[in-house]
Amino acid sequence: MKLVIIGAGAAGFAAMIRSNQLGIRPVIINHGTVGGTCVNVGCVPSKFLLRRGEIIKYFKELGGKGKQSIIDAVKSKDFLVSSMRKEKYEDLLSYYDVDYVDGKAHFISPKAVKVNEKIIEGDRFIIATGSSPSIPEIPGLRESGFWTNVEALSPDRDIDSLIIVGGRAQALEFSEMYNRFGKEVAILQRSKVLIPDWEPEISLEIEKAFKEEGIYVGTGIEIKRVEKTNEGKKVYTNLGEVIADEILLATGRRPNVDLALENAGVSLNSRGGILVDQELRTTNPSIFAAGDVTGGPMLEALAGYEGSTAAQNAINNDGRKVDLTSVPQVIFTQPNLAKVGITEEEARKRGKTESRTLRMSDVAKAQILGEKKGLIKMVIDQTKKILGVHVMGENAAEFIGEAALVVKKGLTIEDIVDTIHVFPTVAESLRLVALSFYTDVKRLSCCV
Amino acid sequence: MLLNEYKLYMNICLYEQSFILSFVKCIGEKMKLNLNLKQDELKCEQCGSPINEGNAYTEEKNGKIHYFCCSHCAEKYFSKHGENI
Repeated sequence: MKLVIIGAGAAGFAAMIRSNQLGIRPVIINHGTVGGTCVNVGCVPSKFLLRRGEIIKYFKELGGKGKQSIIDAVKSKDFLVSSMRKEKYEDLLSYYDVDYVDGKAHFISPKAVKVNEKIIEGDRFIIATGSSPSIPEIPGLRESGFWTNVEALSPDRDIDSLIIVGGRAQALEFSEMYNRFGKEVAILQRSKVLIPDWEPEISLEIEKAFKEEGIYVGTGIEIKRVEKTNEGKKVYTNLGEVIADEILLATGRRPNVDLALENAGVSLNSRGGILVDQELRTTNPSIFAAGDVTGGPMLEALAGYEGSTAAQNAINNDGRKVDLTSVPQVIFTQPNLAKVGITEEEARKRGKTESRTLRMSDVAKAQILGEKKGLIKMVIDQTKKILGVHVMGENAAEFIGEAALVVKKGLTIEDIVDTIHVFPTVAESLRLVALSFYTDVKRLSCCV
Repeated sequence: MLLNEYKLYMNICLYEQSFILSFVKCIGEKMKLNLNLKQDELKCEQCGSPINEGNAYTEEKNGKIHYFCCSHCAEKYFSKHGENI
């Protein structure tokens, strides 16, 4: 079988590795830097700079100056990115059995693509071309200039102030990052709250935390136009104006579907991504798609899982399905925001539900760390099965995986209560919130 | 004004019910934030009470999320306005 993988990011590499494990030498076609968004302009560099921001905060709390130029931090970030890209992507191209083709692919038929005037035929294709920043049509925006995540992670100059348009994961992470580096930040969010698809308690709690850190959070804001003035870049909205050194667009991402898909009989979905079934098969049964290009949740770990699954199904026709109900999501602010499963509002639509919320100030480790902001909320059904876990808490990213396993396996609050958790950890909050369905955990001693 | 004082000023202002924040500060060539924005506080769509992380209750209808201070307000709101709002 000849397998052609288009894209060399998380999904493309996972598909390549799985196909080798199944005895297939694929062709992998890539346009641009190897490694895709995550390692180059996504998770890796942003988490590095967020970590630098955390260190600055700790220095300040201990009475130090806590100052570092973001330009200097970016140099360190660049070193990490290039070394990780080499180790995790570039070197693997020679380690695995693969034909690598550099160029942009376009389908010329359901069984062939054209790259640099070369025609490559295949029995199966996996499209893993990722996504790009979505740029809204705002009068004056293009003329004034703006940043996306790419420029914000590698700024060409230092700035003092930043307007961030958007109020979801990317907006939250960049606002904290730039604020910690001493920049004044204003978030302009169209919805009534930040991260409107999260539990409202978490949306409002992170908004409160940001305001306490000095980040301006504007909600219900419609942007009318943008103008470059002598003072800076001026954003006109329905509620007034803001001027800052730079504008960062964090308004989502759009799937990269510029592949002449019409020649291959591949259709798009309502999100503008490639339409796939649960086995990641497109409307052409010989072509699969994985990762951001499907327009689903744009998460590195999910992209890798989908790439591997698509390869398995494309090669062996195994019929493996991707279950999105237990995919954990994290926003790497401090404290972290993390969730898995469904919200209480979504659970109510399915039937009788219950929920409990526990403040992090009631969790011993949060008190020890001095990071008492946040909460954990657990949603269950009438059989006590856990449907969703939603956290704002220090290091929540490190234990949301446990909650993901609980949701995936359909475990109950008794299963969590009956599992010994290490004291003192923030992860213990999972057990405490499960216990709170039975008792007032504020009246318990440690380790009950 | 020092940065900390500015941030304190922002925090105090942001907790007021509705206000006009107008603040201009320029140092050197780079630009501090210049904000002139009216900020509306999130309020219950039924009774108008402020909504915070302790009392938030949401209902999604036809792709739009509605915010209330309690489930009773949500019930009243949809019985008055209908499910197809």
